[in-house]
Amino acid sequence: MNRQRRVSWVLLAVAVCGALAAVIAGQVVAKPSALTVAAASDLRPAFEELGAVFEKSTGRQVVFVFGSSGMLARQIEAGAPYDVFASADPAYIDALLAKGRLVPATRRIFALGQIVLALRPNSGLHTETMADVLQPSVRTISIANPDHAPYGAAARHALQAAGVWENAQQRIIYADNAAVAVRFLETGNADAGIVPLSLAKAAGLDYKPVDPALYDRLQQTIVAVPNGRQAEAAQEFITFLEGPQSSQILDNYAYMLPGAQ
Amino acid sequence: MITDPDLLPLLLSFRIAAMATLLNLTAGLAVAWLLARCRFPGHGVIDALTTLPLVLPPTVLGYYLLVVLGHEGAGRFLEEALGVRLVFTWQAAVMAASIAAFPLFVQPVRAALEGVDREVENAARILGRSELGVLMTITLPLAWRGILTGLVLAFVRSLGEFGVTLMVAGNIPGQTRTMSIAIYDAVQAGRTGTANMLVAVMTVVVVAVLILARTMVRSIRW
Repeated sequence: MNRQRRVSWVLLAVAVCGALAAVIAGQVVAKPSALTVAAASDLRPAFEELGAVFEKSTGRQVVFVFGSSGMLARQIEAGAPYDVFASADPAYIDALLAKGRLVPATRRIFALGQIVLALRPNSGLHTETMADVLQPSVRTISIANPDHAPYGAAARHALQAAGVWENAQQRIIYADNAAVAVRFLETGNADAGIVPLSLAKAAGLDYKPVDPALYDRLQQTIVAVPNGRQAEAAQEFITFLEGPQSSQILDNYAYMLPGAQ
Repeated sequence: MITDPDLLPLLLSFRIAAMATLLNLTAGLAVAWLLARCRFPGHGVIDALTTLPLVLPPTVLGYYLLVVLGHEGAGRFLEEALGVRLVFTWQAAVMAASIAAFPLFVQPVRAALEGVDREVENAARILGRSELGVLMTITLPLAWRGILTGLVLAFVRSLGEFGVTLMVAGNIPGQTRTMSIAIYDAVQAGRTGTANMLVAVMTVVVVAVLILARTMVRSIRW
């Protein structure tokens, strides 16, 4: 066999391998059988625990996608194949409802979230009130990005209401979502942070509650996304979320239940 | 077979990168040939467009793709006419990976095609080879180093694609959560063990692919 032929054969072999890989990929990847729940990042520890219980009791499969509520809402608007959307702010859900992108009858406020002033481990800092973030040894304050993360918006609101926003602004680092804001604290890359109570507690951080007069508690809202795949399972998940098992788990992660204030 | 859920993204990354590279092999080879061999009005524009994914920020590319494929763009018509939804599917991840890797395939292939001696091709034509015969037995074999280099670069780039994929395909487990996105997710969730493991695996895999390609280029003597 001459050399040109051999090279052609090698190129052909490469193309065939690629085509085979492509065919196998097409068959294995496209299996959207699980219920896909897009949830605000503060819900990660609670929902992961809750999801395991849901799977056990219903035999259904559930996968979670976590991010800031604003980002997830934007993805749903663009057509993301989520079946359920759990937002930390009903405003994002209501905006999508107005555009006819969600199932109105399924909308529920299932928990109330709170923010705390948390510190990085071994910081040696002492904070009581919001004004304490202005002490010189607090060089960085992590909050979620208020533009698309409800917990960030609540943090900014509390700092403004406490009258320290102007002076604190230089020290603020904005995280993609509330979970990342907590990560900055856990890794010691931020000194203080105004973050969800659920995550600060789960991460074992040192924290002080933020005076509820300084912000509105976060109304964690859930709704089904109609995309024709998992309507029944979506409804089942929302119903499950209001059941006693879920209430117990949400309570463990320090969420308040609506109507039980 | 890999069953560890933490390693499923690796499998997904390989599949997506393989499909993206295959896409580039066909479309990229055509564009590279066009750029290397033809002179036509708009040549410069196509040349620039081909290089664009290399220099534009992934967020810009991702935004364009999202606008074009999404519900506000052509995606709406695709969905209404054919019932096909592209954004936030693995198909979108393949498109993202192939667009990001496109210039890395086209550039070396084009250079290799330009380096092929036209006299040799003409000699083959005079001796009676058909145009397809000339392409398959003269041009492509003489350009094989460039093609192989392009394939490897494009594959490795697709394997590691992050920015565009995150914007148009999201982060859906089993569907679009590739290795790089799984690493991002693990870091966000504070799962340091998983992140360390995935980062190590990714590094080993990419280095292995590069070494393999190097050995291939060196050891095969025609």
